[in-house]
Amino acid sequence: MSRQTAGAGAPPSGPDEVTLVARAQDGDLLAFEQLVDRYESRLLGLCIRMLGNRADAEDIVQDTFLVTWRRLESLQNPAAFKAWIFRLASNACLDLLRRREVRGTDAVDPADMVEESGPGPSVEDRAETSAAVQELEQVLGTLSPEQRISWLLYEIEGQSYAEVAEVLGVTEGSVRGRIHRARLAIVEGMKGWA
Amino acid sequence: MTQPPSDPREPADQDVFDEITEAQALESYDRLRNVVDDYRRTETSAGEQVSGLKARIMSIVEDEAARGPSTALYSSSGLPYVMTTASLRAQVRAAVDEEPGLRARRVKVTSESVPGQPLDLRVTLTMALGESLAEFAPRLRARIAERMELIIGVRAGHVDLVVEDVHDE
Repeated sequence: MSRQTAGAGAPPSGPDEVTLVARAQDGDLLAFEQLVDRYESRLLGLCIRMLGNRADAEDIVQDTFLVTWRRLESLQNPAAFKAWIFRLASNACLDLLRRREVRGTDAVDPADMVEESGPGPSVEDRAETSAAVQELEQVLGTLSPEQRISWLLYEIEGQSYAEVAEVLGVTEGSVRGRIHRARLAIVEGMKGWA
Repeated sequence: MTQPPSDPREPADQDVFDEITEAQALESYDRLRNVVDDYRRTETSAGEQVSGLKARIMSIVEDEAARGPSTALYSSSGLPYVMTTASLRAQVRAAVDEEPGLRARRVKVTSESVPGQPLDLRVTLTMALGESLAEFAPRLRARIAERMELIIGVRAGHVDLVVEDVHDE
């Protein structure tokens, strides 16, 4: 069960997810398309926040769905679909970041990729909010990729410690440690805002 | 389930408390909640052009589905032909979905395709709360058999119906 639904939006209507996955396993394109609808924006948002680059994020999301389609038959438990697809996307992000590190390539600053949305407060408040958010993005950029993905899955995607552990293939204790260290880094990096 | 070992590259949890206590850290972090909430609400431009990405994904998936596995079949007059397994399953699913309160999940052909012999199926589904398997099973089997014969051109033999879950309509 997810901790919150902030990252998930309204609960989806229509067939339950297990039914959609089962049907997609049988080659039902409409069911697979509904799964794409459910997860495309969430995965893309996660990958953009991880990589700071929309083109790379789109490539990873596209590859994630294609791998999912091609290996869907191997998924023994359709209820594990969400963890599986987040694991594929998360691992792809971590792999890309490791390759960038080896090549010494600088990632695009995540702050440049984020835009504010929706009705907001006054211009003054908005400017302050934007500055705080940008500061947070800067701090997130200093976290290790493992800490950042853990923090994003927990705080932004609203997944529980157990769900994040399942996605990343580590223990729940390890996830708690990563998120705690990420929080400390955020507190330290945003002293002026806390 | 056996949990994988912790990442050995990560420092032990107590190391993080060297300069700041957990309570202090959490208190400070809680004061940043609004910022985290604002960050969550910011768009990453993920909503834009998402349909373009989806279109690319579905285009590749549709191409691959068209080249998917086929099932060999024999018409009632014994003539061999093939159709994609996904299409065959779709026809059976459609018969299930036509029945009010039922949703098809998976369809499996459980018998060999032999000239003159009907095709046995295993169909998994979910049913709405209040539906009765005993009531709809004969009706559903007849509906599946009719659709198989009419659209696919083969007779249905044994049709095992497996109700995997109960859903709210």
